[in-house]
Amino acid sequence: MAITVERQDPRYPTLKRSRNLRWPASEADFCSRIELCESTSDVAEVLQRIVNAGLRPTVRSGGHCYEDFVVNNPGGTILDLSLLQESQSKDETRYRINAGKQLGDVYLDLFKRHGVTVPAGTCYAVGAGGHISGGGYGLLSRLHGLTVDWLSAVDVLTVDASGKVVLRHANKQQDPDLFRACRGAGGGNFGIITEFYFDKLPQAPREVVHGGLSFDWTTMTEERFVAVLTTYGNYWETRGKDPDTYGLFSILDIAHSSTKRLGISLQFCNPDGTCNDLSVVNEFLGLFSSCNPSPGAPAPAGERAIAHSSISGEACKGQYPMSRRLWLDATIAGGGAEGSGRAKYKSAYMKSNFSAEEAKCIYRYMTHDVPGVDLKGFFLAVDSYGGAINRNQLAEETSIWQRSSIMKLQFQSYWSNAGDDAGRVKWLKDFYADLYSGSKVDSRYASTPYPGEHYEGCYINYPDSDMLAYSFWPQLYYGDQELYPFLQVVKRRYDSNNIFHHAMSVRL
Amino acid sequence: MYRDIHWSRRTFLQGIGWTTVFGPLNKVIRRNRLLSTRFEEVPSVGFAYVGSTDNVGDSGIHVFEVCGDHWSRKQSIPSRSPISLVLHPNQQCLYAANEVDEYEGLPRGTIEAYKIAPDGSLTLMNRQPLSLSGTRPRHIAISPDGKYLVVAVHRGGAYNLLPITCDGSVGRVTQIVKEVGAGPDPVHQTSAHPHTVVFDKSGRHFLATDEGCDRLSVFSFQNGQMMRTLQMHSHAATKPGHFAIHPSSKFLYVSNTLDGSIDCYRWQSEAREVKFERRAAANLMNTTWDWGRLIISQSGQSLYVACASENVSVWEINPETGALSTRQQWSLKNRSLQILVASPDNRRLIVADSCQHTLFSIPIHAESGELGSALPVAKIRMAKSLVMKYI
Repeated sequence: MAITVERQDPRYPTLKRSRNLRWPASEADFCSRIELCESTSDVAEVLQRIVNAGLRPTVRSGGHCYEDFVVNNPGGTILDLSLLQESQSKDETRYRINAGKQLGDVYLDLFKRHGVTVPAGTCYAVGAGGHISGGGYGLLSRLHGLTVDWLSAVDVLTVDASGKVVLRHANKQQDPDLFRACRGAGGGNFGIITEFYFDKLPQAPREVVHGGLSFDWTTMTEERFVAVLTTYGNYWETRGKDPDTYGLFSILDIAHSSTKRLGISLQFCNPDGTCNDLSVVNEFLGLFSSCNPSPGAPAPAGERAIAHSSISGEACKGQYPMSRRLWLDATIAGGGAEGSGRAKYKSAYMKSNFSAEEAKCIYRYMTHDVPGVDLKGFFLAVDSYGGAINRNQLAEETSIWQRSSIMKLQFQSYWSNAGDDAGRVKWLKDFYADLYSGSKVDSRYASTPYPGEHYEGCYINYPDSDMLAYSFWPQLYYGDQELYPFLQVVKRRYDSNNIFHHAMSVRL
Repeated sequence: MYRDIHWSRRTFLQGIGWTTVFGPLNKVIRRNRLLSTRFEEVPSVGFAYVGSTDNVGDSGIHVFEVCGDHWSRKQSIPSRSPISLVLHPNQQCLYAANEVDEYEGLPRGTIEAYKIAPDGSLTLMNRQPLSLSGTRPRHIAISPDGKYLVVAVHRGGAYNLLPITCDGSVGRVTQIVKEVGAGPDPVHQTSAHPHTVVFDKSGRHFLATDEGCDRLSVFSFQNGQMMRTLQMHSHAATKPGHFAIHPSSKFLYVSNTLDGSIDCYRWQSEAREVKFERRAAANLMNTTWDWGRLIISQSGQSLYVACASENVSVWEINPETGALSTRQQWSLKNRSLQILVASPDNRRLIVADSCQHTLFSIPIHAESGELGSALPVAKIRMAKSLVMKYI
């Protein structure tokens, strides 16, 4: 039976909110309750109650949604799947991942039991439900493709036209259109996925190497910065398309110069899962020798890059410095897993190398200060992409249509204080708009990486509500071909009453 | 005080002759003044607020000074598709539902609140978005105490509740009821589409139609909370849309868009029961968008519906059984008519003609309820909503 947490419950302040502490933005957005479900039958029962009561359900697995799609649910109910237990099934021939499981536990479970893995993300507290339904990519994706490329079936609860909750086992034979939609269109659109099934999964590498280079911001010049970016991009546009490089995944980590962090981190293994031959890595790192690198990757990026705060949380006034935090935040963060802060994200796919114009634009924003805006905590992660991801036939089988990109950019800004929201968000918005208003961009779609010769739009699992300002936002995320109309047909068929919706859900 | 006019076929035809003889509107208006003084010793004076949803350029709310049947445009305010207008009970504020798909990038309609100045002019106080996915609201109702608005969100398939603040502006949505369902028609009834909401006299309930699900619902309304207490199905594949509650509160009449019928239901407010009483009228017309707005006279004697492009039907209501009997079939050639409202003094029907973009005032005989000669009073493209206040 589901565990209900209502407003008066001591757990409510923690569970009503996102890991991104910007959300919910105001009390008016608060949900009325959270239902923690332990089984698929719990989820079905709760969902039916919600529908019958005329309320709105939103669904959470790990709680890492970048925007407010889950927790901005005024008076509605959040179905939290993080306690979902493994379903008991006699089918031992397939691998199963329940939607509430965190990626770190998924890796451990699959490795220990079967010696396999999924080519999913690096944030171990991310929940499988949202991650996989939006594509699921990570350090092994160049070698093995996206997680959805391996997906064989899903268990998904939908609400039919009459308001009845229906459990479907969708695959290529049963509800194939719904199955395709669940392979990358993003969460919160068609129903609630409770289980993912995989007939096959890749063997986990036996070993990997991690390495990288750092560059010194204090001596960096525009010319050298452009050389770093274009050398990096040129590799993925050329040599990176050779299969022997597929085991190489790198992140060009560009932080604002005030953090002094700029560098490349990488993971590599040979396609056979060993590290017996490191020539590819050495060749790659050698390309940057003329750019004055220092050996070793920069310090880990992300939420650990939050501006100097040896004490996180709300400062307490008093004789001695103290901070006040919700217990769970303090406990989980202290355990080494990711804590929570305030954040804003954007994304872009690139099909070809950086132009000098783009590189200079990035340099300009990384080296200029803005009065009143602390830009520590911002970094641009330029991930390598392509490899086994770019198998065009998978664009037809899944809902990830971006199968030509060589790099995937994630713009990330992290900070602690709500008072900094406006300045941080505006700066990132201006940077992004400026970067995507150059000669590579069709003026009709200025300020966006609209699909075309150079870009492949944005990633739905890095949602950015700023894109709603553009009428063509669905094309940014789903392309300008048949995919979005297809998803709308699926939406009309399986969720005609639009029970599942958020700011960027597929429109009826 | 009205002069007693015997509404005969001769008078009706003379009326038609007049409207076709006169040319430009300004000449008609001058005539209207004469007609007004002919029918009324003291013409009613006030303001009319007309919402038009024309995409060409006339979309907005238009304010008219009204003196009997003489209307003069005073103000036009841009407003996106004001599909439904309602006056605050204190008549100092006006509210509009904007039948739109998005606002500030998000999929939702909006509600606008306007202050009415002593001279009748409007000033926008605020615009409030509806709930996420609350697109294309169709109708708003205001609670009799003037503290809340209930919105039938048509495409979004929901009801939204918004508070009215002490200055008359509209607050954020405080409650959402999401509807689910579908009807047999595969084109028009694939999901729930709330259409019309009306408070009963007590203000403790409101009733609603859902044309997507062939459904009538009753909501209790207490302490700023709505709760659905009854849901019943109308006849299948009828698309119940507009409805009106009889002044006796015993009956409600629902016009069904898909089959051009009117159903009568018995309404027992204390028991919160609605029961189908009879099919009051059938096969009235081919369907057009938003057909079937019903007006019941204040006396409860007559029911008016524009039931075909050129016609307005006048029905006499049996106060005991709710049955309708035909009293008059009134027509205006080469028009496409939609009833918008009865004037506050119940002496006129104001209808919109979407063929020639004209509003007509049609006098109502005080005793018989029959309709007289139509007089054009204003030119407005795509007039969809109207409220009037007399001073």
